[in-house]
Amino acid sequence: MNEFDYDMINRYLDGEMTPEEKNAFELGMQQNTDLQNEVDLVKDVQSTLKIKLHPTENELAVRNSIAEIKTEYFSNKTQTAKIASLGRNRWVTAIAAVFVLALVLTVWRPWKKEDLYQQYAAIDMPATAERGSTTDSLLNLAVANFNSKNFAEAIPLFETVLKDSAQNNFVQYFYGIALLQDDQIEKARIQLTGLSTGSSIFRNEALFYMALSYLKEKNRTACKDWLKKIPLDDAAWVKAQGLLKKL
Amino acid sequence: MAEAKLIHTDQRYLTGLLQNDTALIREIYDRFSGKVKAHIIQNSGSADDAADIFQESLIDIYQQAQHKNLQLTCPFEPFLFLVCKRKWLNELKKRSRQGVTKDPDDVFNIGEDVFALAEQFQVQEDNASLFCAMFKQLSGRCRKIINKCLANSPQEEVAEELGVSYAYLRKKKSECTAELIKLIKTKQGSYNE
Repeated sequence: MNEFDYDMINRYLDGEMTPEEKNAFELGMQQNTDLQNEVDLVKDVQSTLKIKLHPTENELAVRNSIAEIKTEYFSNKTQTAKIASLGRNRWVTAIAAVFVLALVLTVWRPWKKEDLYQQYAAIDMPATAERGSTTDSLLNLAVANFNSKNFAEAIPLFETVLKDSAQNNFVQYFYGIALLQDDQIEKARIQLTGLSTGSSIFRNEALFYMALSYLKEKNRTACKDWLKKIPLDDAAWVKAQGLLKKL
Repeated sequence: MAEAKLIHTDQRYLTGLLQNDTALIREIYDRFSGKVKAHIIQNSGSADDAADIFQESLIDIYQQAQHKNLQLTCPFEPFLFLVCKRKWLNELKKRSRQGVTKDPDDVFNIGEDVFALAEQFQVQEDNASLFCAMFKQLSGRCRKIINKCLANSPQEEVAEELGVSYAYLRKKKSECTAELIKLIKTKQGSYNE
């Protein structure tokens, strides 16, 4: 069955032939349709395996987006198409609530004049886990610790959760904030930079916390630079402008 | 494809997927995921199954659009639905339940063009699963060699990484390719008998 010279076929497909060899090989294919078919098959097999074994950066980004959006539309509690759209609204409401709460807290905190960083960094993490798996119990525990400002305890819990769902931007975002609050500034920046350069809905919030990481070090110039990166049409922009005025 | 066909305006969904346009991916979920979910739940599946099938189908479509020049010559919704339905049937077969599903005739008016494109899509997907299944049957050494050679690094670097000479790598690669092609042809032969 295998009467073909696969080294030749591979070298042809890999573009490793000399021009003379290539011409001769192509002439051979013209005269021998079996060889032509074999080359086509090997090419198809290799390109297909390559797609499956080595996803492109872009594909990984698309997978990431899909995984993120998927959770809004599918969950155990939503059973019909009608409720699916409600599920999404609830999710959006939850996130909106976080931001509004953060905004409210930052405006009325009594120690407002003392420490801009503290004033702006305060945020509560909403509990979203519903399914009751081990990971979700861990996440709930992480949320509880986060909201009680036990950041050092929340951090390893987030890390465990992220081992299972590395693509979860929601968890990544609060993990980044926990690191920042726990003074692990460099690690926090790595985490937040990842989010701020992606297409996640936390992108601009991550930019805001990147700015805060510099404020925490009293580097107001860098803080301002980061705040200015937040686009006009985003909720985080309002906060950013408020902070910019005070700097 | 011998004849050039008109590209449907719904091609924008494929373009959006390729560009990782999250607003458009959201629109796909918003508009199309409900019916797929209802279909899978009506046919012995759960909401989680539906979520997985929908996600994997989108990735399959992405991959064919990216690498195999898939273009929409028909509306997207019924096409996506057929792709998801077929994937779910395969999954049911794997779980060795009864592979008979209730046909949602009333859901869409599915045109010939949709069936034709879905069929062409499926041939590629079937080939891909055959190639992957046969690849898994290769020896660990062959899998490693082929895998490394398909990554984008130069073959000389692959040889160095594997601790072998370049000539040896070439020899092993051609042996492994021959073995893989033989497995694939044998399997294809068994289908045709």
